[in-house]
Amino acid sequence: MASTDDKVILKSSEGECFEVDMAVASHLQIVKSVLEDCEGSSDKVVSLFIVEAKYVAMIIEYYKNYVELKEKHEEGGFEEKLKEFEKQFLEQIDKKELKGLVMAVNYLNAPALFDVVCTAIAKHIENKSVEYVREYFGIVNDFTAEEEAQIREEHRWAYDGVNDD
Amino acid sequence: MSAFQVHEEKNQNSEIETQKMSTFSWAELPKDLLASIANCLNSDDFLRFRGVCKSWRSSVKLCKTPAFPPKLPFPISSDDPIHRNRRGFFSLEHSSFYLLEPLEPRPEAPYQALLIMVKAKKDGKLCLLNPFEQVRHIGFSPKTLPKDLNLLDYRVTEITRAYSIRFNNRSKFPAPRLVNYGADYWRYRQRQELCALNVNRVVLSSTSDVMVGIYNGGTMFYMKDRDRKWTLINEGRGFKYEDVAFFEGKWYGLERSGLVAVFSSSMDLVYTISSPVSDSVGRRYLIESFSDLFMVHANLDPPENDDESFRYFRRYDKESLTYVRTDGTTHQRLVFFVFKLNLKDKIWEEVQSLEDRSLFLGDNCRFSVTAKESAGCIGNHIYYEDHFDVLDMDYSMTGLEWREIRVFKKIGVCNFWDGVGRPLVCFPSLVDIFWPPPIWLRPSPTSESEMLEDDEETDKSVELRQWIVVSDF
Repeated sequence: MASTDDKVILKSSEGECFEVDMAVASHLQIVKSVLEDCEGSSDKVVSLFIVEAKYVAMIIEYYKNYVELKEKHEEGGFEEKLKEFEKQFLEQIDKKELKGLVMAVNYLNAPALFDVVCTAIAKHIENKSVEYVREYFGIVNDFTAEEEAQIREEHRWAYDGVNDD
Repeated sequence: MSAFQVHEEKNQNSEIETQKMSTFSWAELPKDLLASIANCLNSDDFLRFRGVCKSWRSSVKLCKTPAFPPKLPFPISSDDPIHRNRRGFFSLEHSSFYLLEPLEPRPEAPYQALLIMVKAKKDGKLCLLNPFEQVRHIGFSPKTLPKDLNLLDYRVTEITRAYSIRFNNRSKFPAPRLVNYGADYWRYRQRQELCALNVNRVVLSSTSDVMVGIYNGGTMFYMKDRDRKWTLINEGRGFKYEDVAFFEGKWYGLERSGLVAVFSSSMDLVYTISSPVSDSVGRRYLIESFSDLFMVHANLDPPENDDESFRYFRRYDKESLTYVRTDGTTHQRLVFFVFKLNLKDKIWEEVQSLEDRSLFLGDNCRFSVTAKESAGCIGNHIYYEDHFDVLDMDYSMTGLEWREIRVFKKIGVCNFWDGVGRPLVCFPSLVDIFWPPPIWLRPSPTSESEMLEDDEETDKSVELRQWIVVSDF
């Protein structure tokens, strides 16, 4: 069992605190560099000013599993198990949360989870029409009719044969 | 559960920030974040991503930075005739082509634009070179161009980018080089190996996620940035390719006979376009110019007086395209034909005029410039890299320096009014765009004596200490 020295407290924007193993927190580059900066200090609280508690919990959940799976499957099979978990993990996240999560992960600089979330977002764009993407993500089309026509004409082939739903 | 709540504490300030963060819409995500999402997409999805809204469009450039690894696998195919102890890797190199012009006309000098190529060297330093491969290392020198270019002082237009693949030898023995190969077996093997290491042409898709190249005497191959392995294109018809182009989402492979094989983005042969020329000797190029695809055919006309003293034998391959007389002198008369692709009927239509555009056909690059874009460019011309040495030309009459002669000999120009290719030196009004560097670009003269002491042969290229990358949105 890890001693308290190997723990760090992450504070969300609401001020909610999470105690996390160092092994987990070190995957967040921003936390890692903050701790390195104040090495020797007994105060191991890192404020993640703009990240809501909901997302801190999600990120911790991901990396906790990541670390555990890595330990358990040192001999091999880690990647498959992680993929399985990632699938499960993403299923519980809705569209709005995905946006908050990607911003949080981007801010915390956590490469592995960042790739996972970006790929998950990209899945909603792949083989989908521009109209579908706009509706799904709630984006207002700010091109003028002429601009839009020009953009389409430029790469006509890319707009053929995609799904509207 | 190692993540648990310790205590609660309200912080007013951060709450305001939180609110800001959650009210961001998908269109307002930070640009680098949007770019990361876009980079997960394949080429067609990527193009549509740029069509969703202004913010998404501006987050990613059309030319993605290629995501190919710095060391590409070697060899390209396990069947390549490679020496069994040969080790090494391939690397993808890229260069950008720019047109430099003065911001304002200078009263003291006639108007002049300069065409340059900027290439990153192995150590990451940028160097400034002549756009054509063969004259690359004789064109410019540190004496004729300044060390620092502040691009705010000039009008800079990025014209195109080009890619090439280089073999990096990691064996104890040298990589084969093109020398005068005799008939003996060892040299024959070396020549074979050289072909398998030499990638003649590389083209990237518009979103830079697929590269297609030609090597080994016309074998076409490709690599997608996700699978990171070479795949040979086998359409089952034994085609030998001369050039390749990416046009409107499809790959166009130009076969030596002039036939064009069209491949889908998944590299399946979709259809072929028959050759616009029949039974000819020459070289062909594919070039995309302002949303049209062109085929340029440089036809080598046979000599007209074919009497007894003018015995020729025909020698034709990529390296040399020429008729050689029995006394060793050469004859060349290149006549250019240009065809535009009619995509609807899938045929090539001959073009009578290039209007205000000029085509540049380098060994590694193809691009066009219109007179509209630059006053320094005169339309209806074709510039090409010349593989001949025009022996019968008396350069002493031209009053040129040796360095200039070396530049002009390797660049050919065709005035499309008559379609005949001639050395650049025949067109004094067109020389400017290549050489010499215009007065407004020259370094301020430092010490005359230093300049004279420099051995001219040691000039390699101009290294730039400073270069601002121009956005291409």
